[in-house]
Amino acid sequence: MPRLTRGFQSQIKLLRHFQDHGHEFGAATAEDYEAKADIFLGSPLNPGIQECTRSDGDTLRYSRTTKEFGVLTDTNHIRTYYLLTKPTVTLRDAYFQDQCNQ
Amino acid sequence: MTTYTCPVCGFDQLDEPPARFSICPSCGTEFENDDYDVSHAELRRRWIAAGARWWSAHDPIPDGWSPVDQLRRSGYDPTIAELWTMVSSDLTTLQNIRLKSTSGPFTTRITRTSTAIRLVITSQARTSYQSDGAADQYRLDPLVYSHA
Repeated sequence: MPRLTRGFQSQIKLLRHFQDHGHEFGAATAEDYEAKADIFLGSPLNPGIQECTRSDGDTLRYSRTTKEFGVLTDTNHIRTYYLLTKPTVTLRDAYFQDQCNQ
Repeated sequence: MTTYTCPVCGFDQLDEPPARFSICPSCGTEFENDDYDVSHAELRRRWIAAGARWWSAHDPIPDGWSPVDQLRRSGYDPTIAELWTMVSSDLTTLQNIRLKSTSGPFTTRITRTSTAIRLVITSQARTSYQSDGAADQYRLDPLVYSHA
């Protein structure tokens, strides 16, 4: 399946983020984790997902329903992808807004 | 190549600034995520309390890596209790430990047997951590022991 983004910028960055967050998505391999991030960040925006672009050029996406959060660089590389673990919707929304305003 | 220092654990070979969701291979802090609402001092305390182990399973551990030395190079002087936590969990630290403190000199006595290491750290203030009892004795499996 063709990629929607350019993936993580390097293999080591992918592996670090997979070690940190792969289990949150039940990803068995780093490639599996990257594929899920690719879909979340590269697919056309659907109504359940919020998006913003911050001053450094990064594009952030956040799903209030699935708690997914991801960041894409202005070169279309995946910077991060994880689940927001904050306990309430209000805190998760606030985190997303704070990140957008960076 | 420009390198950067982790504000949590003091690792000074970061290949990018500690920001924008980069992850420190030494302590595993993801910047702007883990440190969003937790201070660097608190993250450091947690890392040390968990044994100050090398986090990344994919980045090789630098030769002679010592969390104690790393912290000190970054300007953080671990307390005697933190030293105890770190040396109890990482044998390589035992070899590299060089005790210095602004609160007074410490002495260490390390005794090794085939199955255990006994470490006693004593300060002038008579604050001491001794592995006198079985519960405090740090036991080693042969693999780890040979690594030390």
